[in-house]
Amino acid sequence: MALEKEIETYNRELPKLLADEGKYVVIQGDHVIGTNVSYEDALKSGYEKCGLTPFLVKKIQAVEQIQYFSRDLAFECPT
Amino acid sequence: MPHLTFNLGPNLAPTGPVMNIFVGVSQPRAIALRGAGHPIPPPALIRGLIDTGASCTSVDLTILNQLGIPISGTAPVHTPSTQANQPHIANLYDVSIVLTHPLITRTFNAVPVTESQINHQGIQALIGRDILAWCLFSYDGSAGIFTLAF
Repeated sequence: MALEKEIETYNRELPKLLADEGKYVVIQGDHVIGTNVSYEDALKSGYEKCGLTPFLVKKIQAVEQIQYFSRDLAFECPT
Repeated sequence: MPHLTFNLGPNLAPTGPVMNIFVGVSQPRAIALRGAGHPIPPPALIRGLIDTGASCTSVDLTILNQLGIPISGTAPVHTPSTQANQPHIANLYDVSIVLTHPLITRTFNAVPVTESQINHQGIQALIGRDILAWCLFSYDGSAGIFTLAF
């Protein structure tokens, strides 16, 4: 799975990150790079600090918001 | 508010409210690519279905791969095929989206979109409510017309 390490880091750090709930966190590997108010600012920060290497941008939420689609999207198999 | 009106007549019901949009790398990624001396892939002109049943926008994976955009997030997703309490974890990609109009363009610099495989349906994107949140959308089925203002 892509960004597996970053998602592990997010889940581990979530209790602390919830102080900034609603903001967007940037994570690379084990490291929390920072938080930003908007998605665009978080992306800017991620590309500035990580360059073109992969990083995670995620909205900090106690309960993750589910996205809904009324049609199937035929996602790629994650394996 | 600039608006686009499409008269599809009797084709509106079978095809749905479909319009061309440009999808490209996000502005922050374009800056990073330029800074690293890499070329910025030109935005792709694709057919998008305005889908009020989609809470966020989704783009066909072939387009995302063509633009060389890496995964930058994940989101739980429910579709008609997912089980209750077992959402699919979809990959997210950061893109820019441009709605074009003869007088003005509306650019969304950074939008997280889910991947999909919908090209076989004759569309490459579902334009979801995250984009519609900034628009006025009118669907006149009896006249075969839809309008998008932004």
